[in-house]
Amino acid sequence: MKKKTDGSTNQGPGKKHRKQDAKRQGHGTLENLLYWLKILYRASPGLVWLYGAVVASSVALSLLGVYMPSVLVADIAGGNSVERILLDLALLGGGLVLLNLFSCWAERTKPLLTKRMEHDQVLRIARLSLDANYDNIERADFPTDFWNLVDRHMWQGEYTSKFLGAFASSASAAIGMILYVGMLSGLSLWILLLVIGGTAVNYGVGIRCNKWDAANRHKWLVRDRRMFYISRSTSTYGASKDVHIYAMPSWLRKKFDTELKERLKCTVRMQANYFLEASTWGLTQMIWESAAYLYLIYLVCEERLDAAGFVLYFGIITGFAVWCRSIVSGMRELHKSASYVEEERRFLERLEKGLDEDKEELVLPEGHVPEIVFENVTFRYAGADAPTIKDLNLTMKPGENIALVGQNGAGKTTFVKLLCGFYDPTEGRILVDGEDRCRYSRKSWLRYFSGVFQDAELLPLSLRENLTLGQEVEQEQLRESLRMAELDEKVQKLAGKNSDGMDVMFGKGSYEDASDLSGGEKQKLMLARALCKQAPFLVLDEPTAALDPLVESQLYDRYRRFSEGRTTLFISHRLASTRFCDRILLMEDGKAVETGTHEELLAAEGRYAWMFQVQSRYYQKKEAQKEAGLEGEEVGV
Amino acid sequence: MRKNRVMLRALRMYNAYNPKYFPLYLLQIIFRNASFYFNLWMSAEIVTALYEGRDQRELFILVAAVLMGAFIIRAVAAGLDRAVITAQEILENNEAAAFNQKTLSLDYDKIENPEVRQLRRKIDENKNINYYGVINMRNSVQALMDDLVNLVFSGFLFVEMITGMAKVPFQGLGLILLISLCACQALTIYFQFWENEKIAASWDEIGSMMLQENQLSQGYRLNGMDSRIYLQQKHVSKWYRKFNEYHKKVYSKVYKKKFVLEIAPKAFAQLTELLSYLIIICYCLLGAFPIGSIIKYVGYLERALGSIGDIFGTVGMCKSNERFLETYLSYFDIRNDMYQGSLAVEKRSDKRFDIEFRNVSFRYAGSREYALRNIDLSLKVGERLAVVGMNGSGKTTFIKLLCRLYDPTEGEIIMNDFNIRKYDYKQYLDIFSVVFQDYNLLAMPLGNNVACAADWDGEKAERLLREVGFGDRYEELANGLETPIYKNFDTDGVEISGGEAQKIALARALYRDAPFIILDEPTAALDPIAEAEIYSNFDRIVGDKTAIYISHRLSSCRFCDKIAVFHEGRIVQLGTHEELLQDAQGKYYELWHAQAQYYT
Repeated sequence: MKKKTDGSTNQGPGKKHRKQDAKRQGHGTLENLLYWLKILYRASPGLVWLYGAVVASSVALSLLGVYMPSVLVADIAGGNSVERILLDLALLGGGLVLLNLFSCWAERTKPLLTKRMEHDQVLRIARLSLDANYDNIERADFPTDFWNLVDRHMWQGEYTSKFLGAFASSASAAIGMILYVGMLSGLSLWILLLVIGGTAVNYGVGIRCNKWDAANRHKWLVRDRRMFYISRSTSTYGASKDVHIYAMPSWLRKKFDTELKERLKCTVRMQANYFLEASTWGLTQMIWESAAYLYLIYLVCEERLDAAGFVLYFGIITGFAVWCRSIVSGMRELHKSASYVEEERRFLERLEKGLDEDKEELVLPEGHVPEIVFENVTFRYAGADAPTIKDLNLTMKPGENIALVGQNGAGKTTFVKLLCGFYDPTEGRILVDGEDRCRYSRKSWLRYFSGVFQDAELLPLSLRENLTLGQEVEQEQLRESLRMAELDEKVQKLAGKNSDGMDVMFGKGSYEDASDLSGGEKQKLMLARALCKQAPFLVLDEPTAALDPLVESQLYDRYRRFSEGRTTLFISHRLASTRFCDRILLMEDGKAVETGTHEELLAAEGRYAWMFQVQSRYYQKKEAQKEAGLEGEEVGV
Repeated sequence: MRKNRVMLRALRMYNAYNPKYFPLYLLQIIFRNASFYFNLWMSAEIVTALYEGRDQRELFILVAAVLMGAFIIRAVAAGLDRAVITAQEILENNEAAAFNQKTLSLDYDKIENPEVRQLRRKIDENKNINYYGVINMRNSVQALMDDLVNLVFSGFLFVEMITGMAKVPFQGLGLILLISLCACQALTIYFQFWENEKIAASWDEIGSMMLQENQLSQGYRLNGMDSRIYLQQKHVSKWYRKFNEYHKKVYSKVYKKKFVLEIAPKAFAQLTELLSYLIIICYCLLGAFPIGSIIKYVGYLERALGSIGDIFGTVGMCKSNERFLETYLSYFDIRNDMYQGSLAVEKRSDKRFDIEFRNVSFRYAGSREYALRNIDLSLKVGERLAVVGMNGSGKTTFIKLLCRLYDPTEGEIIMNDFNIRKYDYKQYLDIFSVVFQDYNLLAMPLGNNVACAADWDGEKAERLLREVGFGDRYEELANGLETPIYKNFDTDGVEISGGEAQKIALARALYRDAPFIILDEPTAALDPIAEAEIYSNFDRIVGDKTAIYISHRLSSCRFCDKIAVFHEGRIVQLGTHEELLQDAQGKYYELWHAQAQYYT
């Protein structure tokens, strides 16, 4: 269920929820179930048949369980021969053994088939997420929704074993009920109606519990996640230093205990619901059991039934009630499964909405670098009042090196996202060799980009995989990239003598012998990765923030070399970096306010000149401006 | 003997996380069994009464009593079920919290020690993947309770059955049947043991596979820009294919093996059941008990034999779990071996804390190379020290030693005439405020983050946030200091940029108002203007505190009194900016000009 933010949850499971549930429901329960069943059947017919077989065997097992004692009681009471008794025992018992062994085999075979399918489903979601509109992915709740889905698929079995299990138990219960009704023919069906009536009441109570859960789940899930966060994330690799220095443990514990207290309030409430449900069941059970006893005893007293018949019929009525109960729980499970299917469908539909598979694929000739023109581009985030990019005009000539500078929040990152095609402009056009970029599919456009981004992280994979990420890259190319990024020495050090270091694993906390890199080295690796991918466009967003002055300077010196034959965009707060770019673009408040070479902009004495002045004066010779001047000068905007 | 103590100790510790849990569980089991045996016994009574042809009134009373009793027992059992679930939640959460508490109470060098990390991860894996360790112990204890209570409850049936059997004259056939029953049961148990052992071995394999599976699914971040640009569809597919193959290899093998292993005990268990049928029928034919008892005794035998088998199984399980418990306990046995002095750190209003490094060298645990070598340095009160050097030259390690996150391998650090080890550790830590390069903010309200405490001084926090340049953003926050950072848990949380996070971390350091303030790359994510604001306000922000400023942006050296240049773990130069620039051969000259060339 989606989180709800309104305060109505305090009112308990009232009408309001039911209405909201109905509103939220995009597809009917049955429709969802059939939809998913179809998907599963297409993916693995064998698995669906296996569950079918389990249904048959579980019905048969239950029948045997009822018949066996009654047949034996009848044999003994009727004074049948020992051979006859033994034969019955052997037949019935043999059936029991075979069925049990079958179910044992089925239990072992199921996970083999399901696991494979679960992987395929997760893969499907992951692939779709990679293709989907980026603003979908950027939603704050995307990571949570995504991991919930993956967790349900991969670990909880909600879409496979639990789903099919619910189907199977409902189906066997339905078959069992019909069979039992048949067996009871000749006896009053009122008893069965009573059982069914009681079951219906229970179903109602159960659904109410389900609804209450669904409506309130977010309340405790968030507490659980917080507790997990406090008890885990605070002792992870990154956080422990701060936690240690700032003496946080005791108040974190306090925080944990508060969360736990709140969590328990939910638990108690939920458990009270379940208690009510169990008691209702107990009460209805008492009612139909007493009716059954009275009726059967009456029959025995009337001599229409003997003792063996009593045992059999009471067994059947009890068995019928068990079927009723399992059909209730099966249906509740199905109800839940349907809501999960609904959630997944809604999630995927949202992702699919922005898919542009029907769009033309952009294919650039090898070595060709197209010209990009921003034509009156305006971009506004969904739900935002003001546009982040305002009426931007810019031509990026093939092979040009552009430096993008500006204060935090000026819109630089948004610009990059527009350029890479993560977003489409709200107004205006972005032209690629004169054609509107929106004509082409995002995927094909992205293929021509490479870069270093601010939030990049190491993956828990080998160095080679971190560099190539699955692409075919030649060994020499890898080496060269590492050399360019000044990382080859470090790699050699990590690898030792006998290896080229490409198999060094990263991901501390995931692997025992994983290597770790410092902030600066990580940044070098990201640069090497960007260089590995030979793309016509290279975007470098703060690639030097963690590098020492020497490496930074070396990188600047090499910049011409590795930007050769590409259009590059260099974003940095270090204005020195702008020196070796062909053109500087200064953004302020979503607008390109100044553009030109370093010298031109300095000569213009505008914002850029001022910013450069602010940064560079600390590097100037200590003259009159020193000390007092430095402090006294107004820096405000 | 020693092994028993392991389990006992673990149990005692675990029990303390919620002492109500196990008693509640026991009570629940008692009621569940009561419910079952009550039904079993009463239905047999009714059938017998029918046979004996008792009058209707008596029958009705019997039925009424049975049903009322059953209802009451069921209701109580249901209530206990719920109580147990609630108690279990408390138990599990307290356990997790206590484990974390242990982690946090460790010395920093222990927290980061690779072996300790590995141990922590191992315990985690055991718990989450194989359900070994305390979870397994809890399950075992519960299973034992289940089975023992069941046996006790069925005791009366056993007595009843035996007396019935004893009534009939000795029968060779009966004896043979009984003996084969016992033999069958013994074989079931034997095979179960055998199976357990084999399966425990395969779990290792499955466990490591599941771990990989999890990592793979965690491995890529779909919401990062880089994943878009580099991880296109086919690469993700490739990963999965690779993984599917691996899965086929391991999973299939293990599960097929499991089926083969399970067949034997399962078959023998079935055989045992049939035999018990045979025995009961046999004795019934001999007149040992009435026909109505057949269901009762068969049901009893099935359950009792099952329980006996389970008890053996559980004992076996406890045995194989012991080494996991040992691993678990060994984490709690880790002792902090950092020397904990008792000298109180004076609360000096003049902040007179002079610190001196005397020939300090340091080597990380498990590393052969020194990260720091022969460091001699003294810090005077109120001084501003800039620390510069290349990546990996030991700057951050130097800070870690100063804050006593680690103790020096050689040499000593002196504060006001005493080795820092002599001071009370907590009080010593209190004199430092640090913004680490890889600082970490918590997904909690802003106020918590700035104050690092449950409560905060709103005025002070606000003032500091403005001082570090967070003011504009702060105005936008509807809930002020109550606003949670990040959207991890709260939809009303706010996402903050790297620059803003850095400012909050800076405010946090200042809020602490400690005599020493250490800033490790505090402006890396700030734009030139914001950086210049910090620079020009630096003196005011820092006030009379002693400050250490680490940065790759050498401009920061200009407002520091003294610069220490680190190179390959040594301090190669020490002096003022002007002094150091005189030496054209020096490292500082090289670093400075590498950067300054672009600005002149």
